[in-house]
Amino acid sequence: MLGYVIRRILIMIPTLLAISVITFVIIQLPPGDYLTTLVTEMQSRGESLDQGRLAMLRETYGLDRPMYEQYLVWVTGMLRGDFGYSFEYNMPVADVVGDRLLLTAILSGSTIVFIWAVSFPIGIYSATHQYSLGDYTLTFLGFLGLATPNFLLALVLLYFANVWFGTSIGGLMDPHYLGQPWSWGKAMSVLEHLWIPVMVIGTSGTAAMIRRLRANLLDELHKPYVVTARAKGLPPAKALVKYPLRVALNPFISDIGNLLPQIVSGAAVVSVVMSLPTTGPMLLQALRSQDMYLAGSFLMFLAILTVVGVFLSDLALAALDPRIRLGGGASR
Amino acid sequence: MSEVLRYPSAVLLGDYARAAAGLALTVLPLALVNVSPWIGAPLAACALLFAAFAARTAQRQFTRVTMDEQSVRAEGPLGAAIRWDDLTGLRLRYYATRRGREGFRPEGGWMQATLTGRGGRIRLDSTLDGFDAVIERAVEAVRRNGITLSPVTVDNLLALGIDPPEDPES
Repeated sequence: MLGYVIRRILIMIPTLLAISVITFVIIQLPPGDYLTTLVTEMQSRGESLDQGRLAMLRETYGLDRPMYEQYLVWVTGMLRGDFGYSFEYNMPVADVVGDRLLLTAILSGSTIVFIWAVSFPIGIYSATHQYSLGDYTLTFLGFLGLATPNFLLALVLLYFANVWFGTSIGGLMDPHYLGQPWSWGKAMSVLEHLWIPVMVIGTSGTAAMIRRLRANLLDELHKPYVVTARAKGLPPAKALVKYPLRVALNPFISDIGNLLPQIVSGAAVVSVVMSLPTTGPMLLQALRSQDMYLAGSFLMFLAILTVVGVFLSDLALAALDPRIRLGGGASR
Repeated sequence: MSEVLRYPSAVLLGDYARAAAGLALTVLPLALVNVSPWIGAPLAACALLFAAFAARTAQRQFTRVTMDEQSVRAEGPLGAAIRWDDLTGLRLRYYATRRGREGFRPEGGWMQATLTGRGGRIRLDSTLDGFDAVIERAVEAVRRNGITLSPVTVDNLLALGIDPPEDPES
């Protein structure tokens, strides 16, 4: 296992470096820079910025340096915990981001737990009760969940919460805790508000996971070894849990890596709709205004989530089911 | 007649290169940059792992695996010897850095066998010259000693082209 971990880490580090280069280059690709956007905005408002001040700002922000130099400053800065300077907010990226990374991590983690907790029993029930009324009902709900865009579900919930209960369900905490240091009250407030965005963001993921677990488990349940186990009188629960369920769980584990970035990036629109203080809305704004260090830091955060997520799911898979898969996904 | 098996030098060199690359990628930033604790902690953990990997590669370099009709012995640092009659377990795992949704794909992977017995535990990688011969001999011992193998081990044996023994519990 040590050899495996070493090889995976050795793939992970250059991957992150490559992603950082690609991220930085892509952010720089649009013509101009943050100051160009700023000047255009000012001109559209009828204001102007004199060329001397513009040159001074360009020098202050390091925008006059070659791209590779800017990249090296950014990357070595990240190692020191300095993610650069946000032009738009006029303060260090770390200060701008504040609690948002932590709140995003809490929201994403809770959503993953929600997806697993809901889809696991439903997927098993659907597979073991194929074509029953319960299976049809859950399948229908699953397709409904898959087909409903998260932001639409958020809008519907916001509307009904307002009309029926006369309350706003937006935000991730009571307004007076915004920007305040963490306290017991703030943590409780986050927990109180968390379930609605978790449900909204997790619905489509849950539906997809139910479908996948059902399909995989059905595949396994129809294999000859399960039929043999039943014919030999193995209790149904044991014939389900001992092998078929364990094999059908592989996609669950494999998907950890894909799920994390999907949830974080997919939650961006929901965060805008529900006024959630997560990274999504700020990333969208940073990309629009070419606030390159802020946008770059968010994108690197997403990349690290993906790479670390895939790494963890690989480790879990290696620990749980280290078998070779020959042609067509079937083991010989 | 006893057979003496070793890890090929090309494999050992590859592992030393991996350890060196890993140490360079983790220790250099720690030494040259004033790294923040959030990044320093995982880097230091990775550096320790690479150091452990280098030590394990050195241990393999100085290990000689000897196999005959009676036993298998790993002679060298942290060595052990297991008589075939005393074999109590065989575990065969497959690792690959490429995988699909369902599991590990065959490209670029390797097997790791763990033999357990009264004399201790011997862990062998499929990069060892004569690995298949050791496993065949171990499977014979498993059959004789009535040991139950895990489904993962059975599947991996089949992938190696070795018929696994019947499960004594079935």
